[in-house]
Amino acid sequence: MNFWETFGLVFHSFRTNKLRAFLTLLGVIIGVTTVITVVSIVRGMNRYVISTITQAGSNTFRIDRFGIITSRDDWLEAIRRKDLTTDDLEAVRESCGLCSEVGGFSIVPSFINETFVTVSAGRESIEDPRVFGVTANYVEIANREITNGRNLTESEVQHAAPSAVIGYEIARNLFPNLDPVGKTLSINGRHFRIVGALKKYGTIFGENQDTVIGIPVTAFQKVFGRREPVFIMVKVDDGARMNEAQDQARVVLRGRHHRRTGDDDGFTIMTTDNLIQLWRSFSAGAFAAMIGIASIALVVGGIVIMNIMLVSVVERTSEIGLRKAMGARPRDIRRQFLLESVILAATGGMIGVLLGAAAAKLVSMLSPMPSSLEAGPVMMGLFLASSVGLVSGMWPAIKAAKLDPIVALRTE
Amino acid sequence: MIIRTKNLTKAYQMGAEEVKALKGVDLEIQKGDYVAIMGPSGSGKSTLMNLIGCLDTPSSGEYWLNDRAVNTMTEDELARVRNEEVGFVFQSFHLLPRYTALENVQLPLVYSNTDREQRLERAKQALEAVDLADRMGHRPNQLSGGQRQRVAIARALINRPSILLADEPTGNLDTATGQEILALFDRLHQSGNTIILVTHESDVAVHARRAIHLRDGKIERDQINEKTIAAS
Repeated sequence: MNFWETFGLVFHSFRTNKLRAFLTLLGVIIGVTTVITVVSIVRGMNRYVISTITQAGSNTFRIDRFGIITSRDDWLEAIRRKDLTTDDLEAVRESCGLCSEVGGFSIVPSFINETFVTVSAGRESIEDPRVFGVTANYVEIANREITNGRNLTESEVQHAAPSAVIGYEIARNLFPNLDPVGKTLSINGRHFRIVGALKKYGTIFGENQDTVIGIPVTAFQKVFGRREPVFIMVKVDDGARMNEAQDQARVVLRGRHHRRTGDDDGFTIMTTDNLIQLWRSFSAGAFAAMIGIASIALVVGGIVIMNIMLVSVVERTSEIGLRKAMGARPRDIRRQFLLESVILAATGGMIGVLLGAAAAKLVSMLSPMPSSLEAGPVMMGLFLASSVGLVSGMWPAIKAAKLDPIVALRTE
Repeated sequence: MIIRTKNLTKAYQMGAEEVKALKGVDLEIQKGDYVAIMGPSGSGKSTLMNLIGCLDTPSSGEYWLNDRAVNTMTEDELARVRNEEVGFVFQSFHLLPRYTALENVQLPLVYSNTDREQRLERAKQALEAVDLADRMGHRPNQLSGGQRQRVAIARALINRPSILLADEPTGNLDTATGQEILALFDRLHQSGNTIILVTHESDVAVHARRAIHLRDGKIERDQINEKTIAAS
């Protein structure tokens, strides 16, 4: 009984009993599909996230009240904290020697954004714009590029000038086929003159980067009030002294907020390293969950395969007897059933790989999450499935090999 | 001498009781002989057939098949002997239902590691020898009972065994078809095959040159069929 004959045998029984074959393989299919889907998505996202996070440059950091909120406790802690203000920003700029550029921005909190912010020009208006109050150096620190016109100037920011820099989609929607520079738009009824337009950036982490409008932070406070929190952005030219620069900024802010020794900061400093670490711990969680689901599915799949192989041994008792009478050694019988079990499970594995690849593709088509199907996980999926087949085929195969040919031949 | 047994016994454990199926059988069968083993059920003829066919090992005594001591062989060695020395024909044919006649006939060659081309060639010849050249691609359920048994006989002969061991080969066939099969056995005997036929029907046994009657695990009678020999 060679490989291809066994292969043919297994596929013949698939054809004659499709439902049973499908149910038999369901566990393995689910297990392998999970592995392939999650690995593809996580790998794709890894690349995407890391390239996105590092886009702003690895030598910048951000200071704000919230930091990264991953739990209810974090949230409760953050809402007790005081907002940072433009005065805090100025203080860091004054006193942090290692900070080469200190800038910042304010935004309208997204939960009131839709109701309270209206942006229009002539008869065109924009849904869901994101209005930023920024310092003049914001564009440089955030590593954004202006394709048309110019950036906001220091003097415009100082004098709360009604000037604006707009994102790609804002420009396209308000002024289709026109150069937006020099035109005016209105934000909550106030007029702003457009001085520059940004490059197209697309959607990053679910936020559309092309619906932004940057106005001087001073003008922003006139429109939305002085109470909106400020996010401080710092760029450090000497990358080796990032930690020192952060410490300087920390000392300045702690002093201004009257924190005593032993108190926490009351604000959070975020670097790209923090973000990458956060992402890694999140994706490690996804991996762990995947391993959990996949191993449960594979164990269940293995038990089902073992069960069906035991049924198959009983059904084919007379065949086993005949093969033994024709000169099959116990090891020939054992190999036949083991091979059958492995082929069965590997088929489930292949179906799982196809479904997993399709699922990953679907996810990346329907959402901004990219996916990447690589040879490694595919091999791993097939290997896992085959191992399941090997392990769960062991007992049925040994049982078949041990059958007494006389008894087996008597069975009809 | 193709088969020689000395004081062969076989005992089974049936629950707490020990059943002695064979109680010392001394038997010699010549190459080219055609022997019927007869006896009522429970006489031990199936047990003797299993021992002769190397499907089972004796509890005591000795058995030489083609001058090799079989009673001391391991399971793997027995498998090899079954493959090379014994051709089995069963009452219920025992063909694999998913395989064609041609594939069924090749089965013993699969276990003797014969290469594919040679297997096919020999399987065709074997089917031609039993007049089934036109049924090679048929599956068992597309064949009549007599045709199925002829496929089984072709399979039994494909590895050129020392003995052809047939267990009630006509038991599942009507009389006319049974006679066809027995005529085929006669032909095979004439061309030099050694045949051992296990049966309880005397009109089947008359085809053999020699009839061995078993009763209660022992040979009761061992006689030459003078008439059969005279008729040929």
